Amino acid sequence: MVTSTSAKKHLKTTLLVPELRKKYYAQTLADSQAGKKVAWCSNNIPSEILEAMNITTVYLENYATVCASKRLSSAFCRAGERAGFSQDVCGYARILMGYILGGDDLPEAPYGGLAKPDFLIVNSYSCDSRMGWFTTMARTLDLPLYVLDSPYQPVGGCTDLDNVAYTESQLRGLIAFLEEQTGTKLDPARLRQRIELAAKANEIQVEIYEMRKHVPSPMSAGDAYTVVWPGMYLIGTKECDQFYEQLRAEVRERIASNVGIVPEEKFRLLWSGLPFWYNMALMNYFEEKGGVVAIENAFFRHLPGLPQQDEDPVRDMALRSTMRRGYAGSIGERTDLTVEIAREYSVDGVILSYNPSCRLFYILQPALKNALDRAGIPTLALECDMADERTYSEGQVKTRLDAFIERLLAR
Amino acid sequence: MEPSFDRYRERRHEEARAWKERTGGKVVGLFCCDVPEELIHAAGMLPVRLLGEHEDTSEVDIHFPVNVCPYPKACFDQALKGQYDYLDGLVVPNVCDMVRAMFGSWQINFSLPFLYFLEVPQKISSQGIDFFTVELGRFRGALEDFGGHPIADDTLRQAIRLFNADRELLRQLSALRVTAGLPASSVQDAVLSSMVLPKEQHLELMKEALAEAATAPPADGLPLFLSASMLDESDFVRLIEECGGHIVADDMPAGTRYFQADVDEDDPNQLRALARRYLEDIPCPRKMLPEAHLARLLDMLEASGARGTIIHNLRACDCHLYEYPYFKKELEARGLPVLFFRGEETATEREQQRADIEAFIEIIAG
Repeated sequence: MVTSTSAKKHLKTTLLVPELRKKYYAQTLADSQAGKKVAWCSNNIPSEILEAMNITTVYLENYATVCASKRLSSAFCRAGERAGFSQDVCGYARILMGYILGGDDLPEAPYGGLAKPDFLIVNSYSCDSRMGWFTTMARTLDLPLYVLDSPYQPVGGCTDLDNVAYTESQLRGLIAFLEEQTGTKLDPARLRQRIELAAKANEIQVEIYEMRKHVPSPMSAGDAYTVVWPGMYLIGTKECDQFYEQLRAEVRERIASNVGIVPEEKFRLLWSGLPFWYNMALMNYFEEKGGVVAIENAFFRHLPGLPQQDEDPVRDMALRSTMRRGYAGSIGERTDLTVEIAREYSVDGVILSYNPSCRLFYILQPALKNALDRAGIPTLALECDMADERTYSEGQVKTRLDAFIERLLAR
Repeated sequence: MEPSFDRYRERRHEEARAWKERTGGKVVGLFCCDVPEELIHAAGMLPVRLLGEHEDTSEVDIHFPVNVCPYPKACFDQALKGQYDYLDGLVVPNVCDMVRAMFGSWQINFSLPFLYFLEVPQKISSQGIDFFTVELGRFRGALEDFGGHPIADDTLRQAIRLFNADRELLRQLSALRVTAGLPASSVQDAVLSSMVLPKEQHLELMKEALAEAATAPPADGLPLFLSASMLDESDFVRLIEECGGHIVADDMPAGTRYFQADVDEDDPNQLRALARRYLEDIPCPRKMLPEAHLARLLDMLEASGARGTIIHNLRACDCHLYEYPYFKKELEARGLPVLFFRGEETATEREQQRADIEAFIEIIAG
C-alpha cells in the first residue's frame, strides 16, 4: 500500500515541469480538435522530425507514469489484464491498454485523456515489449503503425557505414510515412532548425549531469526524474532550451553558494533502474536520514549534439543515432557505465530497482549487483514494479531501506 | 516407430566434444532460428544450438532475476556448470531482450575466443534485407578471420545444399504426422538433434528414420495444433501425447520454424539468399507483425485438420505473450478451441498441465 506519492522538489525550476506538462497535454487535445494530426509514439522517436512536420506527438510511456503518479495504475492495469495480458507484461503497456479498452470501473483519465491518435510510431530499439504493445494498439484502434528499426550495437556506438545507412533508411521511411499520413512535405531547413534546438538542450543537460558530481549534491533524483521531462518530450523546441538554461543557472547558483539537498550530506546514493512512479516521495525518505539520491542511471545523458556533418539533416540524425551508448546496450557496457557513474558521482551505495515488468532494466540488475560488489560499492535490491503499485509494500521497503542506510552510516 | 533421436539431445555435449576431438575443428554455439548456420558450417566449424536442462539453477540465479525467459537462462546455467566448455565461439543474434543479454553475460563471465553479435533487423523490409545481407558479409568475414582461411563460394553453396537437404527430410518426416500418424515428439526430437549434430551425420540418421517411420503403427490421438515459443525438449509434446492428443502441425522454433523454408540455391548472391530465408521466412514474432504471423499460422492449422490449438508461451517471453490474446480471439472466432499455458518446462508444472490437457481433449472429443 502506498501512503505518499510525489517527491518534494528542491529546485525552483523543477516546479515549472508540472505546469509545462499540463500545458502540453492541453495543447495536444486542442491540436487534435483543430484537426492537427496526432501521433502516439514510444520513446526514442526522433521528435525533431515530427516537430518539423507540425505533427502533435503524444508519448505513451510518459502518460503511463502520469497515471501511476496519480495513483491510477491499479485500475488501469487491471483493465489491461482483462484484455488477456498477463502480469508479466510491461506495466506501462497494461495501463495504456486498460485506458484504450476502457470499462465502467475505470477512474477519470488524467488531463482529460489523450488526444485521439491518427497513427502510431514505435522504435524497435528499446525492448520487446514496446513492439508487442504498439502492434496490439494499432490493431485495436485500427490505425497505421510505423516501426522505426535501429541496429542494436551492443558494445556502444558503431558508426559503420552500413549501420548509418540502415538507420538513415528507417528515418527516410518514417518521413515518407508521415508525408503520406499528413499530405505535407518535410522542409529540411525546418528540420535543421529543430536539430539545432535539440542539440542545445542536449548539451546543457550533459553539462548539468556533469555539475551533479558536486558534493554536496545540487540536485536530487527526486528533481532529476522530473526535469528529464522537457528533454524527452519537448526536445527541439525553444521552450525546452529555455527550461534547461534556467535549470543550469539554478544548479550553478546552488553550487556557487554550496547549497545541498540536506544540511549535512551524510551519504550519497545512485538509483539504478526506473523509480516507483506511484511513490516518488521515497526519494525524500533518504533526505530525512541525511542522505541524497545524487544520481540515477536510467536517463543518463552522455551524448551532446553533433556538429553539422552533412548538408542533409536526416543523414546527421542517422549518424548521431548510431553514436549512442548505454540505455539498451549490452549487459557489460551497462554495468561498466553504472560502476563508472557510481565512482564519478562519489556514491556510497546503490539502490537496484528491480522492476519485474520492465525487462530492459530488470534483466540487468543481478549483473550490476555483481559488478558493484566487485567494485566494493554496497547495494540494496528493491523489487517493485515501476508502474503497477499493487506490487509495492511501503512497510517492507522502508524496513529494508532503514537497514541499508544504517549499514552505510556505520561505514 | 521409436526413433532414437532423443538421445542425441541428451548426449549433445559428448557428441560435440567427440566431433572436436575427431576433426580438430571449432565448435560455435548459437541462439535462435536467426543465425545462418550454413556460414559456420562453410567455415569448417560445427554450429550447435544452445539448449538448457530443466534442473536446479541456483547458480544462474546469481546472474539473472526470476521473472525472465527461462530458456536462455537455462543455457547460461549449462555454461556456468562447465557443460559448454568445448565451445570455441558463440553467436548471439539480435532477437529479444533476454537473448541479447546473453552477449554481455558471456562477455563478462567467460572468455570465448570468438563472441559475435549478429545484427538482425527487427522488421521485415527491403532495406532490412539489404542491411542483413551486409551484416552476413561482416559475419562471414569474422568467421574467416577466426578460422584462419577464407570461405569459398563453392563451399558455402555446398553447405546451403546440405542444410536444405536436411530440411527437406525434416519436412518429409513432419508430414508423416498427418499421413502416417507419426508422433510429433519424434519430429521434435529429430529437429532438436539436427540443431546439435553435424548435418552430414543428421542427414544419414534422417534417412533411416524415414524408412522406419513408414512402417510405424499410426497414432490415434485427437488432432491438435501447437503454437509455442522455444520448447528446447520434447517433454511437453510427449505430455500432450500421453493425454490423448496428437500434434499434427506446429508453429514453434524447435519445430516447423526450423525446417519450413529453404535457402534459394539458385540465387547467385548467396548472402542475400541467406538473408531472405532467415529474415523473411521464419515467423518469429519479434520481427514478423502479428497479422502476418497469424496468417501463416492459420494456413498451417487449416491444412492440418487440427481440432484445437494449444499455445505454450515461456514465462516472460514478451514477443509471444503479446500475440496470445489476439491469436486466441482469432482462433476462437473460427470455432477452434484454444488452451493456453505460460510455463517454464519444469516437471512439477507438467503434472499440473496434465489435467488441463486431458480436460481440453475430452471437451473437444465430446
